[in-house]
Amino acid sequence: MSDPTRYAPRPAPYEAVGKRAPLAPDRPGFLVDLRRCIGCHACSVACKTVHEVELGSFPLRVRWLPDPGGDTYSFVPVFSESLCTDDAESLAVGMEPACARACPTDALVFGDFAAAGSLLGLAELESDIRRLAGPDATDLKQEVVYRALPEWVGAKLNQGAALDPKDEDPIYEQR
Amino acid sequence: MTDNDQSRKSILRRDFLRLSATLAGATAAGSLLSCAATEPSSPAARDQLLEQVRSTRLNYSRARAVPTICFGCTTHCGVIGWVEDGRVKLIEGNPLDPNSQGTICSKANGLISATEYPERLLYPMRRVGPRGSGRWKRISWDEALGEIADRLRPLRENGTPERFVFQYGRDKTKGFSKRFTDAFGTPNRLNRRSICSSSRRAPLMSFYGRDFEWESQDVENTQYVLNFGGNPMEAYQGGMFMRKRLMDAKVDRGAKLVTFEVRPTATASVSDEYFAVNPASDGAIALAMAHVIVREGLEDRDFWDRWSTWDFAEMSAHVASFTPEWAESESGIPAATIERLAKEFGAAAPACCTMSNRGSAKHYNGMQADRAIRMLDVLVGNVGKPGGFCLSTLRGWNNRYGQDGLPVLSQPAPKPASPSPWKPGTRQFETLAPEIQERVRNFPQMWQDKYFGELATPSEYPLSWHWYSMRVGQLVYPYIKEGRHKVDLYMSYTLGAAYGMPEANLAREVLADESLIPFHVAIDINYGEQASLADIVLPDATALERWDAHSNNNYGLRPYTGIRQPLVEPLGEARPAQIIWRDLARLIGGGMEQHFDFEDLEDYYREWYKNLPIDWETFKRDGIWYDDKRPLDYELYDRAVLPEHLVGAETDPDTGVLYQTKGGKRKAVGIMQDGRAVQGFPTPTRRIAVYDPIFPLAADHVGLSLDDGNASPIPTYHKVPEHKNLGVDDYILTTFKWNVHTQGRSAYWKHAAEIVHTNHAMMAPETAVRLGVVTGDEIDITTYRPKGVAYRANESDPVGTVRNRVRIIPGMHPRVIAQAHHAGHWEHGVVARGGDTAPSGGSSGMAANTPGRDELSRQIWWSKERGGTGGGVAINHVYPINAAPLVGGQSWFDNVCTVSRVDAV
Repeated sequence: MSDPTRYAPRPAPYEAVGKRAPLAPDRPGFLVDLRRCIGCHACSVACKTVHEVELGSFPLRVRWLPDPGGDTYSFVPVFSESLCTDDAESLAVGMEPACARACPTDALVFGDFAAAGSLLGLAELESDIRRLAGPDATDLKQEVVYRALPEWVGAKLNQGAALDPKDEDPIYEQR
Repeated sequence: MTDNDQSRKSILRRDFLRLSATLAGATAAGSLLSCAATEPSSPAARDQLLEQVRSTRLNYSRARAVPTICFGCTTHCGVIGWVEDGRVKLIEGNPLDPNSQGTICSKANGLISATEYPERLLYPMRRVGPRGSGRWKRISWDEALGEIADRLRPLRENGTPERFVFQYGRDKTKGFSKRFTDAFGTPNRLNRRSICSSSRRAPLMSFYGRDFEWESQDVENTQYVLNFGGNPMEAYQGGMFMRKRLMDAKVDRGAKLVTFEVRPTATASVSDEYFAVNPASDGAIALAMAHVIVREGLEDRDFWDRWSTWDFAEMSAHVASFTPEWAESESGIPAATIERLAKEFGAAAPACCTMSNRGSAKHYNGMQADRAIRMLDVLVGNVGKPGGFCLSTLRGWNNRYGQDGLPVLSQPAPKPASPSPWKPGTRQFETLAPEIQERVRNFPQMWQDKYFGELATPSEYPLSWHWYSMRVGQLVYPYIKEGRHKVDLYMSYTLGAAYGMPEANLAREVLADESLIPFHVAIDINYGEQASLADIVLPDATALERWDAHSNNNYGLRPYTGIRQPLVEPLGEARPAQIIWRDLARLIGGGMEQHFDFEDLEDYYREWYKNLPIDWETFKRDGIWYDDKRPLDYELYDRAVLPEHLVGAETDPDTGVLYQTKGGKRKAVGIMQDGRAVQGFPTPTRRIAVYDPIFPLAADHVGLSLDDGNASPIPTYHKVPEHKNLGVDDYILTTFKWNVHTQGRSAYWKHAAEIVHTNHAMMAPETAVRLGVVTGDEIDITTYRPKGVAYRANESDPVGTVRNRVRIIPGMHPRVIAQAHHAGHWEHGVVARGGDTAPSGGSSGMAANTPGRDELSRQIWWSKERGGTGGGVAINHVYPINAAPLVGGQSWFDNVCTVSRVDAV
């Protein structure tokens, strides 16, 4: 069953500023719902634009990974453990980080795992949730959990080095 | 230059310098570029980078949030820009937009890259060397507009205004440029719709009427989508409006998406089933599905009988021969699969819909393919139903079909009259070649009343202008070369023909020839290949610096309007195009100026929107308006005829069509159904023209054989002539758009280019094996001319050869080679050229921000200098000009080619 909070209207950003309490989740985190990701790069480009990240560095990168033995692709947004900051400016004015706000399909959602009834809290109860890295394991301030992550993608993500873009991404050109 | 300009420029410059200093330090410390695209290699590098990221952040509390309309592609989503210190720092979705629902894609933020691009056009320029030599000098606006006006004025005064030819690539001024060309008196306001979407618009307008050149599937509520070659997850006019709706429908409600394509797109990847079909066989599959639906009794017979113009028994007999087994032989899709999908589609009705786009339509047989696809919706009766194939009006608000009760929004008066048609006996008619005069003389009156010469209304392609003027843009340059129309001044506006037209080398040849085009004015925001062949270049304001009215068909099924407004002042001396045309009109004079009597563009647009029920400041604050109490656009056809249309109306006893005569003109306004006067569809019959006699009529007038499938009044399938006897070494060369790019207009957006900057020749693994190549190998692709009724058809010489590198893509159709068409620019500055800083035409005389350019250049990690691929390969010269009969849509995806390996030296 779908989460009713998904359909709650998002406030216009200009209404949010100065009127909403800062977001200060007890357990901040991202839910990456791979059932919804369309590989569009909106999150990555929004992040790089607002943070004026120079070319060559990706705090968040969208990967197109060829399905093994298949004819199509799986899309996976991957956070850089080092370069992703917490986008405190957005949280301070009560908004999700810019990457999550840019996601057109709600594949990338920021929230509080600890909040009762929240999208993240509910998602955590689902059987197809995988946590790849927690606050203890990386420098990321947030937890990142993936929903509907194929086994083979999870294996790659956990290997870290296997995500070196040089040989993994057959469509998008890499250095 | 105003103070504002000055301060804005210095702000930008300061930022560029600060960024340069930070990055220079970081590089010296060891490492940013060496670890590009991965993690910083050392803690010091990382700290440096984080410091830089933090120091340049947007402070939301200080910034203004201003709504506007995106111009990153043709979808035009409502967006909000965050403006701080005179710069737009982030663009995100406007949640008040009922169409985009507050979503954006990566291209929205490309507008910032475009606006702040260091090599952007900032001043008017006049060429000082031979045309195309790239030598320019900066001139004043007075000098530039004065010279253009002096060249245009005599054409108008001497009664030859048609020798002013205006052609645009991306004009979303909602008719402002037409105000200029109409006031001048030229009918030649040309575009390039034929290389985009005319062959998918014509079938829709044939079926549903002029008001519906685009559909609005209710994907939010659908259970089943049959997608023939559409790619809404990446590139599709309206795709942005479907992404969230479709993914929600799939994930939350289990809706099914089935895609027929020739390569594994993002849409194919998120589909429940993806089939790699033989190119140009979509129509065969659709007809076989109709066969199954009729055979299984899955049709909505009542809907068909009520609304279709085609007798059910005749239709059944027609589709009986298109069996799934036959379709398998055409498409490569197993008959059992076609049968299963047809049954699933029929079972889901009416919460099901078809989807199609260029993949099905941009073929010699594409118009009939789309008619066959559209027929499936009529057959199962999903038209206008929740979850079905819906229609929501697209154009400006002028009390058109489906807009009853809405405030009328329109350009401020006084609007100029449109030019008069070139009827026999007029001076312009006499300029036509005898055989063209003969053809036009034989045209029915309805076409004689709309004929404006061979550039605007090519007589061989009457269906390119029967519904409205879609033009045949790829034939403009050949026609000028052949002397079909004499040009004195050619003005291109945001047009990339010299780079992106099929046979782009022909476009360049004509643009470079001063005997064919004596004077060329290019208006654009960036110095591209088209501007490089101009005599005067004028800098346009970007989408973040300008006003435009906006309306679109709404996939949320409720008419809405929005306003594009400036977030920042134009940089340098750039001016919004409306101001350029206003000032030109005043300089030309002779009465033109009366249509441009405004000083401030905001005043002009306030007047345009004066009938909105909200005040102007509220509209600017929200950026969007719609009536949220208005019922959704379901079953518009079943709504009662408006009382004012019933006054004096008469019913045709044979057809039930209601006619009203006004000012001597008889117009169908509705149709009687079960004793009720309902609106029906805005077609001449008020029904859906599944049978449409316009096709054989048009064929008859242009000498097209009635045996050609394009001439058929009923949806049919005819194989692309050059695909009939493909040799074992022949392949089909196609082209496509990536999700981060927008035609040839985005290669210089730095974040887009970083993600996609090249355009390798993609092929299936088995194709690579046959050719004996692997990823990275070089190949030569040689293309040949079409064999149907087309420009230079059947000539045996190759069109051209392009050398490219191979990329193996599992999931591609093994007969297809695909190259994206965004890459390989030789102008548009250092980012578009993949870091190539070699002196090019564009660099000299440009008002470039040199430190900014050098800094940007240093970051291009994919440049050849740094061992990368560079900016890709120019490919558009090898795609033959191939306008399909009657409508003139470019058959982009029919090209037969051969491929040979370039052996290593």
